Amino acid sequence: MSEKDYPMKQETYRTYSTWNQRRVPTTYDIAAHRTNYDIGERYDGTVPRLAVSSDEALPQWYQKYREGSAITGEYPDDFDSWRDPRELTYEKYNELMDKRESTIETLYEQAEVLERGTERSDDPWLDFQERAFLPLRYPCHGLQMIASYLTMFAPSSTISTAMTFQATDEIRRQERLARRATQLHKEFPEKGFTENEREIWEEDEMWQPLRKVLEELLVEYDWGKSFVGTNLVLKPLLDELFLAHYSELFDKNDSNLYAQVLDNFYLDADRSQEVAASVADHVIEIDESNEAVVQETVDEYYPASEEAVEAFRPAFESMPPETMAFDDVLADIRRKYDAMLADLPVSRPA
Amino acid sequence: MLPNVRREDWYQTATNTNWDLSYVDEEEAFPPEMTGQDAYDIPEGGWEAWEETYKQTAREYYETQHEKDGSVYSVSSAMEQSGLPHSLGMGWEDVLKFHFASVPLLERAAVTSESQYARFAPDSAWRHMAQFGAMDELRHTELQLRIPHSFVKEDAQYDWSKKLYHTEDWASVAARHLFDDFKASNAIDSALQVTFAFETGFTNMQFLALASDAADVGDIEFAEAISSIQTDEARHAQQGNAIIEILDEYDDLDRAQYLVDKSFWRCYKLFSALTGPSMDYYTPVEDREMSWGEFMEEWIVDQFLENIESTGLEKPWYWEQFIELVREGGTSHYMAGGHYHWRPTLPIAPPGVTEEDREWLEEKYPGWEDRWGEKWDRHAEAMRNDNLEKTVADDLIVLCDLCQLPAIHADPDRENNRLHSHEHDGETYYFCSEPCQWIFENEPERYAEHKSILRRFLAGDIQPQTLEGALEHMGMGEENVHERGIDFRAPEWGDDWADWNPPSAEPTSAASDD
Ligand SMILES: [Fe+2]
Ligand SMILES: [Fe+2]
Repeated sequence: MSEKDYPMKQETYRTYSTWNQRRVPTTYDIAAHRTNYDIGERYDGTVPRLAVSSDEALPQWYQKYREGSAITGEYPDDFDSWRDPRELTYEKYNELMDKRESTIETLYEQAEVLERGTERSDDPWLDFQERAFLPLRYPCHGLQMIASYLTMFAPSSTISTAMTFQATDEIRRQERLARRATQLHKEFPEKGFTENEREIWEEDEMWQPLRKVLEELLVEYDWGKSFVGTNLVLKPLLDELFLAHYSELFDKNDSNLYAQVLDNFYLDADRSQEVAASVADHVIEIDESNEAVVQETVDEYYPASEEAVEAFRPAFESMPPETMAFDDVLADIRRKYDAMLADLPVSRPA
Repeated sequence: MLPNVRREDWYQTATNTNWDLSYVDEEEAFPPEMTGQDAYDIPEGGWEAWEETYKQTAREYYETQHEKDGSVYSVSSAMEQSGLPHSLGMGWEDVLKFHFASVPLLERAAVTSESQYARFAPDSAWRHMAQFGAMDELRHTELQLRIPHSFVKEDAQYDWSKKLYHTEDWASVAARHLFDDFKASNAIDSALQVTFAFETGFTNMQFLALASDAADVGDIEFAEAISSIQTDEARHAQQGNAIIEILDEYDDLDRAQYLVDKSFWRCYKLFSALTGPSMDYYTPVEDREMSWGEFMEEWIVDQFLENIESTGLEKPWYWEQFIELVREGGTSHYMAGGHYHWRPTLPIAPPGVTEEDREWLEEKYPGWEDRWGEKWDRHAEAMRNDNLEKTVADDLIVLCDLCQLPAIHADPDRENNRLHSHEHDGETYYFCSEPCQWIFENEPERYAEHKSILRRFLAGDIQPQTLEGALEHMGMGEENVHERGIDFRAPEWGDDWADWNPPSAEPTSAASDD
């Protein structure tokens, strides 16, 4: 039988035809670009592109909070053209995180072998952890919920993918914190570790400003404002406080092992900040009216977020055995924050 | 050094992170339309007993998934120079093209659904587990977009792996109608349909059953990829059982029963259009072991039924007619015929059936010749007479206003298969089956607005009002003419039938003489 000239085998493509940018697409682009088909208009012009009645609750949400966001742009191209600066695919993310988590395991093993005094255990230090550190798994969960929401409502599959990874980052922290609380509970059963953190999170005054702004962000349903309020305001401030500066505090209090765990988490935080700045930059570039929206949202959430950070003054100045000057901590957090905004036409409110 | 602890010691502490909101309204943070709590009658705190069996941690997740991706991608890169899958023939390629066109972006839709549970499910342990579900689905999207991407250089039809759902092709419209139905639901409703009805039921068909065909054919890459995917499905699908357990405890199963009945039927319809023809017609006959019907019996009829009955649910009310349809494979044969007849609308190259095919089909589905053989005879005859165009449809057919698939099974004498219709707001809607009509009648305001391709055509939304206009609307216009489906065996296969007599018929002198 003779070879046939099948038309589909004659005229072929170099890459998926949905790819409309000039660059040669990378594996990341192949995997993440334009994979969410409900974004934009239905063939009859209805928004969003869902097959059920547009009066149903879910289509209404998309219409209002995604396509109807305060952040504007042409769907889908304007948002689809955002790409993760680190081109993180699922495969790469898992590989990276597997390494990070193995590093933590190794830290634990080394500490065990060396039997170093890696864990201080006097009362003030234990109290510090119970009251000022371990309740953190609750806001981690809150931040996971927000990142999951953004996965659902992001205006492009590329932004959405970055948010899926961020949500999982929060989960790994949540789990490590729970594990530590359980270790402490086993060693000091009378202290109330694992049992008291929820109440502390719900009632202790140190956590309330944080809980307040986090709950407000949970109901900030406009994808753009949710993204800016969380990723460009609250989360970077918290990550500097609880990861960078707590790491220093743990180190100072002879808890080098956990200082290193926090440093390990910071690697994820670093990525989220890069994503935050990059998305903000992108939306301002596609539509200059977005600049004001980003700034207004920063203005809206920054004061409450900074207040949330400031409430942790006692965690640095009076609770732990070895203290740190909180004004220096705060100044450093602001400096880092300014650095994150440095390339954006957006600034920290006075 | 602090004492070591095992996962069992701390997992609950990690996942039980519910708290009472006080700075915003609980209702505002967990709106009933997003969570579904109002639709169920579970007392305050009842959902907090939610528990699934896997309890996988992030540490374990990263490690296992890293390993799994490692094996899949290493097989994939080892196969790079092998000429796979093109060396396996156009029939098997149809299976791949159909799979890749329909699956990866639905996986991405499942990322959205899982993320909805990770945000709005009424319990933190559920939200926690759902986040890994979202990750899994992201993996499946990525994997199944990366593999066929390397094939577009050889065959333009693989381009539909990313494109199908961005078009208004009828297959896209039908699959979106189902998956958007899931997506546009509250978290509890959606999870019951996605994780229970769809994932514990039908993903086994598409990923395990098809993997066994792939292994027989020798497509190691595809077999490895999809069976690896199913290991994730098996884990995150457990969400559904955990939900049903709670509903059962509070004797609140009515809505779950409705949703399972509805989505099970809808999945069956869609899969009989997608997987049925792949297993019974496109997989090369020598590599077909089990038929679609046999796989259905094993994976759906037996296992899913067992699954349903192990919960407090009952089998769907239409079970008898469902079983009858499965045994005769009618829906799938009808769809295979339809794919062939309307092939320019699909990015596959569905072949005319061969002698071996027909013997196999008659063996697997006794009575196949009587019911379907004649249609293929007519195609073959047209081929022999150089009337290739006569084997291709030049019209549109009635589509079901619920599942969006053809609304007649070409067998109007049978109650199961007759065209059903229903009046709503002065409009007549048509259905392929009693269950599809039942679903529509239960929620007409949800479904009435949607226009099938046929309705669009009749309403003048498709211009010009010709078959070409419809192809253009479906993304198969002039520019994409080379992507349209063709019969890769045409026109020669028509000749094979010159002296053919179906195995069920009395042998004639011409046929018995070899
Ligand atoms: Fe999946
Ligand atoms: Fe799934």
